[in-house]
Amino acid sequence: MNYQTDHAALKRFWYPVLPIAQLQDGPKAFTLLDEPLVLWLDQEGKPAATQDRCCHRSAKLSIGQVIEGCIRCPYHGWEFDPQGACVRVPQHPDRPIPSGYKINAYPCQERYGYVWVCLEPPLQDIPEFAEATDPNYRLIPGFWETWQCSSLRLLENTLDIAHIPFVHNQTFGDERSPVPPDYDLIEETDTTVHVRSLSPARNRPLMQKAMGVDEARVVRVRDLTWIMPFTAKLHLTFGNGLISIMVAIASPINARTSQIMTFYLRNDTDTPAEDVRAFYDAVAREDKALLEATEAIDQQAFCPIEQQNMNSDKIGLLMRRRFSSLLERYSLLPQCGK
Amino acid sequence: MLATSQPILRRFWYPLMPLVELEQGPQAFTLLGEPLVLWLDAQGNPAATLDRCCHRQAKLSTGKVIEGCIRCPYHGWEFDPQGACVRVPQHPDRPIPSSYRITAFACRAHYGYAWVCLEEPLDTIPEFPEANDPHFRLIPAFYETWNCSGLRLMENAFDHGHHHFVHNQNLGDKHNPIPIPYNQLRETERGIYFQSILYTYNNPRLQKSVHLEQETLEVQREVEWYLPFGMRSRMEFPNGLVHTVVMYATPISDSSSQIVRFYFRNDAEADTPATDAIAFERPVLNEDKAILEATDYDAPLDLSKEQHMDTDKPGIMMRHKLSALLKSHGEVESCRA
Repeated sequence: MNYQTDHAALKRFWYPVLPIAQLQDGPKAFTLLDEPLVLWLDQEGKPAATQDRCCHRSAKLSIGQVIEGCIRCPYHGWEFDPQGACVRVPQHPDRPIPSGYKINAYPCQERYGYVWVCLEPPLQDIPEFAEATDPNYRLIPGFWETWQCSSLRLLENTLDIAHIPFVHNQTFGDERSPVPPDYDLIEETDTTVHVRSLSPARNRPLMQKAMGVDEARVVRVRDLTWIMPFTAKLHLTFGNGLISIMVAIASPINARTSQIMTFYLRNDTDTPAEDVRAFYDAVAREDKALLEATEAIDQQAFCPIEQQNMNSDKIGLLMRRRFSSLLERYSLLPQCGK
Repeated sequence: MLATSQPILRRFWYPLMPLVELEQGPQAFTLLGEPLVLWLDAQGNPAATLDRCCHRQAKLSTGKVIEGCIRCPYHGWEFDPQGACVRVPQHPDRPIPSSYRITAFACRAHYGYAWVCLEEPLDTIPEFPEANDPHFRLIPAFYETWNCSGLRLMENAFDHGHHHFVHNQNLGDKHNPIPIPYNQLRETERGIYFQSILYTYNNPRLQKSVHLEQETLEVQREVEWYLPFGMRSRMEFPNGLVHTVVMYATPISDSSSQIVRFYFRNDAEADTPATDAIAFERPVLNEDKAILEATDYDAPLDLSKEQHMDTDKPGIMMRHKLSALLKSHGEVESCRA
């Protein structure tokens, strides 16, 4: 992906940047799409996000302190409110504060236990998951960690079923059956792609514990939804009625680095959360090792014709086409290399 | 301003290294992006040349000093302090071609340091009055690399507005954030000057350095800045003790500086061990370092790019002086894209 040109479109989506619990003990830094941010909690406990540079002498506000819901610069103590306005200059307490004393502030809200930020006016809301508000489901927080791969590469991986027998051979894949099943359903909207397939899996001990199924082989109904730009919802239905959902979001730190956030939604109550996490975690380790060994997706991401593709790449291509039309709509489509 | 992109900065003297370090053998130092090798010649005077042999580009700083010349570690060619090759051991009987030479730079010993100027000097190394006064001793205090630009460092040293926040337990008034005014703040030929009274919290480390016990001290301070990255701060305490700090932020690159900081004091080692005089400043410098390394090294001279307040006057004057220097030599400020 050419982040030089595509940042403008990607800045118009919400991304989870950090667990809100991490702000309890002070401000934190996070870089989103190359933009260094400081995050903190205001007086009502709501998260705030601004640029991580004071407008006075450029010090990082993230090493400052939160004072009555405002972020105080560590250098000269200027204080900024969640809207980015300077509200206190301790050296001149009796003078009006010039209107030029301000920093960029960004829309910020809490959802699913995370702080979400959007750098430009949002094109759509934070993704809704019906199960997250359904009393028959519980939400299990997953992991939050940095992966050295581009966000698009990660999403493409989530949509790709052909890698499962190879990359996940130690968790649920079966390299003796490398031919991927056909898709039974493909549904698209402007910003989503939903596919359904039957997904055979080798049921090794980690999955047995996580899913409460004993047979050596299981066939799950796999509903995968991609939500623009970097959200995947993997909805698995097991023969015993269990529904196990993983939501994974790759927040783009820069062109080559992503912050991965996951949580799980389950319609059971008896499986310990640690067992659920242990299985998904083991699968994620396999993906991480592979993805960190790929090249960052660059301009070619939007020029599918330039790449070598096979049938099972279809869904990844649909995703790329959706991206292309989004960028086209905002006149941001990069020129593909010859 | 990106220091390595302003050629005029190559025409100032900078202290690079304590001479005692050169007694151990040749040393490397990067000045304004230029890799240098420094060594002591046969008379014990420091010499500075490019840190690349003209033959196959080996770093001379990993070589040896032989009779006051630097010997390349690769083929043993030897270069004198003027950069001329004076020995090619493979051809001892042939005349040495005049093109066998490396670029040498003006280099002088002063105040216990090797000073270098990369081009025709525009200034001189400052003569500090304490240096010729027998009542004063010189104490080398700090020599370390900070990842920030020289302008940020110089401005910080002159800024009364940050003491309360950055040095709350170590320097300045820990109760009152309103800064002390600068008196007689003015431009000088080579920089700026001001005086002030500094009310400072007298923590136990400072007590050991100045031998005063009251909780708050009134210090008479006289401060000078020397273009581009040098300063002197004379502090006189109520008991007559004078503690003068000289500091240079020698520019290594656009984003890093070598802190060269030494003192003149009118007391003796028996009164105050040098380690006690230095110990007071260690936490103060650590506090400044943490903040300055969290600033953007590309400190703009253009005043419209940052916001300012009254206590920034010295820093604003530094920006004016630097802008005028660039302008008078046909340069414009270079900034990161």
